Amino acid sequence: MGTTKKYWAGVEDLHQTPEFLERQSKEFNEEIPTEDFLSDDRLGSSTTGRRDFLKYLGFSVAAASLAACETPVIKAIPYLHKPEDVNPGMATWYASSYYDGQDFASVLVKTREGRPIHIKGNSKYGLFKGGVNARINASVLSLYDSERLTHPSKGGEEISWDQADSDIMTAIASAKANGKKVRLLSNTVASPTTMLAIDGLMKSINGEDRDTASHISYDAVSYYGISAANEKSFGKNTIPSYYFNKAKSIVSIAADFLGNWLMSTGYAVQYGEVRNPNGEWMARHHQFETVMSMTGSNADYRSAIKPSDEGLIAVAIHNKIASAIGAEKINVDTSSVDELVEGAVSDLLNNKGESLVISGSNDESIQLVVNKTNVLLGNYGKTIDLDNPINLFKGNDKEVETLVSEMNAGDVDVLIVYGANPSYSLPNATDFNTGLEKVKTSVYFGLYADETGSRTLYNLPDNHYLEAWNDLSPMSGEYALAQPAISPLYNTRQAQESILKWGGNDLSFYDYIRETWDYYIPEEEGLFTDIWNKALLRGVYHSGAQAATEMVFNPEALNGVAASIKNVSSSAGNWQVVLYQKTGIGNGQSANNPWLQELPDPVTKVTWDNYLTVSLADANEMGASVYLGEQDPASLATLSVNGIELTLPVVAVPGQKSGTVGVALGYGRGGNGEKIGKAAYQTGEDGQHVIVDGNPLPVGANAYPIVGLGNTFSYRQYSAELSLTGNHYPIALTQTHHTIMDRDSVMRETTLNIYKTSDRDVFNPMHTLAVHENGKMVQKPVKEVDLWAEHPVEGVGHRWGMSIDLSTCIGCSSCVTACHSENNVPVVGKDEVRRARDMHWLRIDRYFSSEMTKDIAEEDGLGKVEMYRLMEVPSNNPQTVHMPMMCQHCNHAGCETVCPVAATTHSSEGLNQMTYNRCIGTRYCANNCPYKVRRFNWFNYNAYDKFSEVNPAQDSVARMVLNPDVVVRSRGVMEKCSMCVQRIQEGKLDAKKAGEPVQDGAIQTACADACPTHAISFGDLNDVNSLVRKEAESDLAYLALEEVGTQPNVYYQTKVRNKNIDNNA
Amino acid sequence: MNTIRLINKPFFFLFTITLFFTVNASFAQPDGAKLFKANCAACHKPDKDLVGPALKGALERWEGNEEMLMLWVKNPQKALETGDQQVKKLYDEWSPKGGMMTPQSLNDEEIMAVFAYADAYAPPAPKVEQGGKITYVKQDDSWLWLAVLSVLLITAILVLRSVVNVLQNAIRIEKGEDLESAIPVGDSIGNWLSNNKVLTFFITLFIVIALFIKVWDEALAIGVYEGYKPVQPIEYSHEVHAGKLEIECVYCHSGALQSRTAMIPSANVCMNCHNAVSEGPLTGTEEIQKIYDALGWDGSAYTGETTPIEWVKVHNLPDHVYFSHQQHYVVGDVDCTECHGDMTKETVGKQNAKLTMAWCLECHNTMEIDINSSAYYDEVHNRLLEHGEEELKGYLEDGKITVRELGGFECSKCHY
Repeated sequence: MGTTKKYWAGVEDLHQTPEFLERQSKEFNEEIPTEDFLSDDRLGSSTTGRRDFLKYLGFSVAAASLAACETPVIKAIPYLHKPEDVNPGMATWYASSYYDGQDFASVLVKTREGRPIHIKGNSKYGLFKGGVNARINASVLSLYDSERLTHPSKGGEEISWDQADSDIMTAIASAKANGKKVRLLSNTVASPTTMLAIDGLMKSINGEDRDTASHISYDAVSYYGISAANEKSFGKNTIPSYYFNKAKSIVSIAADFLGNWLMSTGYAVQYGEVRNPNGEWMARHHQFETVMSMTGSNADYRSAIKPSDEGLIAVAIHNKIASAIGAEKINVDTSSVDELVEGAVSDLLNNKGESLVISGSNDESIQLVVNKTNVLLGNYGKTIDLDNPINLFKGNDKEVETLVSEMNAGDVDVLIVYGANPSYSLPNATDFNTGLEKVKTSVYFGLYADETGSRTLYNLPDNHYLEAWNDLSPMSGEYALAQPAISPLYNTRQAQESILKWGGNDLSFYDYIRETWDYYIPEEEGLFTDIWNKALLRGVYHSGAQAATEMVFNPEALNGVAASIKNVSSSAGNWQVVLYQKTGIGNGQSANNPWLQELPDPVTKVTWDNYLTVSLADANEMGASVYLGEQDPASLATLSVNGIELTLPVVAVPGQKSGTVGVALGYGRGGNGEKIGKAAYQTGEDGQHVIVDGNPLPVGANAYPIVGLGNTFSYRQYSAELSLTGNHYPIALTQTHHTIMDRDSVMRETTLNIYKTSDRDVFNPMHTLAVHENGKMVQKPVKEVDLWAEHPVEGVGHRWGMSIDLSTCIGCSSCVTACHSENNVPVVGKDEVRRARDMHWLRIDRYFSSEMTKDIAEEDGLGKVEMYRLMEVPSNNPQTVHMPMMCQHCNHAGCETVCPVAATTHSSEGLNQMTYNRCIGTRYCANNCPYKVRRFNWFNYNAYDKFSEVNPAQDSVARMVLNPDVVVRSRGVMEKCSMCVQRIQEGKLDAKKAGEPVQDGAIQTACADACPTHAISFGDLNDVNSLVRKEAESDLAYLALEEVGTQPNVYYQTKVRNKNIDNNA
Repeated sequence: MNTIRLINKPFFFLFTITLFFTVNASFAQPDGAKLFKANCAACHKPDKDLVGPALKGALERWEGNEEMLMLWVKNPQKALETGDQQVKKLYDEWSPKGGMMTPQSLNDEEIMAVFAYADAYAPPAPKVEQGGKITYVKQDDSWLWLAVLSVLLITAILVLRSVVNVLQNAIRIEKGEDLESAIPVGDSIGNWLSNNKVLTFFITLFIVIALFIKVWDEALAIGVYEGYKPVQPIEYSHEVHAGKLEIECVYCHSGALQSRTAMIPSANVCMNCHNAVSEGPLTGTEEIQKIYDALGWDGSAYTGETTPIEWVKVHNLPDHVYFSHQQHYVVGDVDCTECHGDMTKETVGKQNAKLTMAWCLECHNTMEIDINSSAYYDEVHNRLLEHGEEELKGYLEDGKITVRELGGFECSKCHY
């Protein structure tokens, strides 16, 4: 039976309302605007019918899918005449030299298919064993900066070199005729042949007796105080050579000699030699400084002092030594600091003639006291060598100040600026710039239209150092050659060629160097061609050093010193300011280098910013944010010194003296929107430049205007004001925790005498785990407790491993940039670093010590919660450890077991392999890694807009720096340290070709290569004679987080501090 | 027989010592064949005249005048200047064909080794195709025939259908019934399908599976360019150079000896011979002229006006693959033909192999490593003996050590 039930669609249906009935006949309830639609006139005029539309759609889908399968036709263009020493696919190395007015290094340049792609130290032949720092490693990237000047120009209009030559020669002639002056302003020229060329130009202008032209040199960061003091003390207006490797006691008063002070690349190498606990002796290092510098963080004893006390410290040390050996004291009351210097003084007195006192101040008086102290200690002729001075930093502060007034008086008609950027880095840059407007013909030999270049009439772009010939004499008796590793990329000409030409010499600079060398090298040394070729091959030439002698101190030199030091210490205000340089940016020349901007500062771990460092106590007192992180921005504060105001974020740094502020130089480049390179400017969250008033906002603020003028430039200000603005500013740092919380499984340290006198169990005990056995709790070595079977790499085949010596690691971060360069590590910019998405394969963890330990907590009867809370607070003057951390290549790796697609596996050679093309980006591995060294590619760094201003791989020129042997990773994959597997493979291939086992040391990772102190060693752990095997078996060796049972192939050497009891213990 | 039990350490020590001496001894002797291939093969053959005379019997011909022969090889110009009659005769006879011989930087011992090799040279037996090798079957054009056939069949079905209709109607006329209009083709197919459901199911299943297999195969072939042979700017012939003239592959592709890339030779390499040879057997002067144009060679001197030759790259590996010719050719001693096939029958370059990862691994899986070939492997071997008895057993089970067993299947051997 059928159903008779009736369903109504609603009450309207039940009652059959008229509206319902009307609507019932319509398909749609709502009014359809059919009329409107059809009455649209444009509809008829449309030429695309529905069927056409479908046809196009179908065709384009088919075409797109077909095109996806199409092979792109790739062209291969071989050489027509292949140079004999260039083999496509193989690297060619050239010995060269780096000098930029700040750093000198003997380097090796790796070129592939004619493109320089990597720089490393020339450790075999180079001066100072080829020590390099981060700035030098990164210099290869600056070659490919797409914002370099590409042609000569006058007032912004392109001109030819011939026109430039004739214009400038006419200008010089007319200046001479009108009795006006011609000035050449440069940084310290360390090239003897360039000096000859400059002299030639000066002579050709001046003729017999006129003084129309002169050459003035200055340094962005001046050391004039040292040479001025040496002039007074010994009658030698030079800076001596220091031998840190001969000093058993090193006392540094605010000199950052490992990072920036004088020839720091060389000093770092020397320092590394004497900081080895297994050496014959280990140097002890005392540091007195205001801001925690990288050097200070390595000191055995470090005292935080106010800048105004630097003089007092120097005098206190001097007076104590003087009284100990019965010499005359300096009449200054040092009672406020006497206690601080006692340890340093006793070490110095114990090591007379084998010690070194240095000061980082540019104040002549302090340098005079330091000189006298070293004379009393008999250090001249031993650790200090004035007979073989260094040829860097010969700038004369007084002459620059005279030049600026001459320019403002309208006396200078022609100004040629070479190798310096005075409009930025002079303390009185504003005066210089006003003066520059009065100079009729201003010429700039620079790489960029930077602060100076954008203000001069002529821009005659110089070659990059990798495109140019040069000779250098960084210290007397030592010569180095720089050779081009690539033809000039643009229409540039080496500055020296212009100088030669204007001086009436038509030789090319290369020929001129050869001629000069031929003239000066004594004939009895042999055939010049042989000497030249050898020097070129090795990059250096030694002409023999003078014998170092003891110096006689002129007693009159100390007149007035006491008064000057007293004056400084009494003039101190509430806040004192120290201007320092950072390891990455230095004096600011490389502010456009993204590798360096992204390099975390060794101490603060801040990237991409300049900031005001203050002590923790001061920050708390001011109410500034102390804890900084992704969601915790820094407080902005305004620092005002002599009417100059700088507004910067505040970063609290343990170890800083209360009442002081530190500001780094070298930031705030390109404030007027000059084209100095994309990475010099701040980027917003979208990755594009932050534009303020039509100009991109530079990274940080320029602190050079705060530099004090006077007899010498002064990098201390004794009276300043500091106040919070109430605003906040996000800051990007790579490490937010401060301490190691008393856990010894990551970091181990001991002192030299404990190490020398005790068993391994005392300073480096084996980790054990508690396990149940036969109903009892027993302690077993970690290795015996394991989920997995023993890995077969032990003893069989190769087993690549690394050993990192924490005693000699100084935290310089040279390894970090080397890794960037070798492994195409992307640069991600500030915003991403802030979100903890930095891509560094190798990072340097920095740990501070805390006042609180488990023992103290027990004594004071503190609860656990309180104890751990206090442990997180670093001491006021903490001990610091730098710990390079990269993939540990664990034999029982946590990452390998959790990868669902086997994208990370273990090789039979002990490497933890990462296969990008298999990775699907689950990130389980990173989660499971106890060392947190895996880096996830969140974005397509080489194409995504957000990184266009920072990542070199996005720039059509800068991408030439990429290493063709290493793939550029794409979005969605995990990456990490591969232990430079490309180098391992190459090294094995070389060994197989030669038919011999891999020699120890033949394969080096980029980080090990770059380490100036040889803290990192790499090799085959299965090779019983290898260095790395010996280190792995040493008493100091431990594994990071050993109790986790990952069995890493990377060993660390317990940090040994040279503290307490006798030196030479 | 398990050999491991027979091996004890003293035995192996002795073995290693012996090996060391044999290796050393063989190192001391210059390898005539290698030297010949590297230095002489471009112009000479051991047993036939080429640009230069056959080297076989040279020692005999120069008996008593060996010193001059040495001088001639090392510095022909100097030898000619001595006025030696035999040298002059040789020069007069051969210089019109290939110009003056190039000086060779070989020492006496090496030169003797080359002549010894030439004297002992016996031409290789004609190659016989070996069984068991992977052969790549050329795809035939059978699909065309299939298409023609199916068109024919469908036509036949339609014709037959209308014939049946006509006949049925004829019957109806006979019987005096009404004429039925023909059922449309679509309907009749539909009727048939609904009447034969099981068959329809299987036919559908067959079609789906066949399509799936086809798509799968095609998808696997994406990015595989086996047989890729693009048109090149110069119609070069490997057949002439490598085939007829028997010039060694690495004479031109010298990168294989020292680099990851074998290299398309730079034009100056061509000029080693084409300096003198300006006309070829296939294209006359036309193609050779292109080299001269590129180099700016006017027949006697370089004008300095050069235009690079834009070859089309034939073998393209993805960025994430690192392949080294040096590793395979020099260290692994893999013959060029293993991957590149017989280029002596080709004109311009052609991709012979698939270049897929499976193809790589196929060889890594089976290729044996001669562990006695160098001291590098001796070290590996020693460590195995000392620490890896388990592994050693594994290696010796099949009596050979393959690339795979030394890590040839591990990711970061090729991907980094």
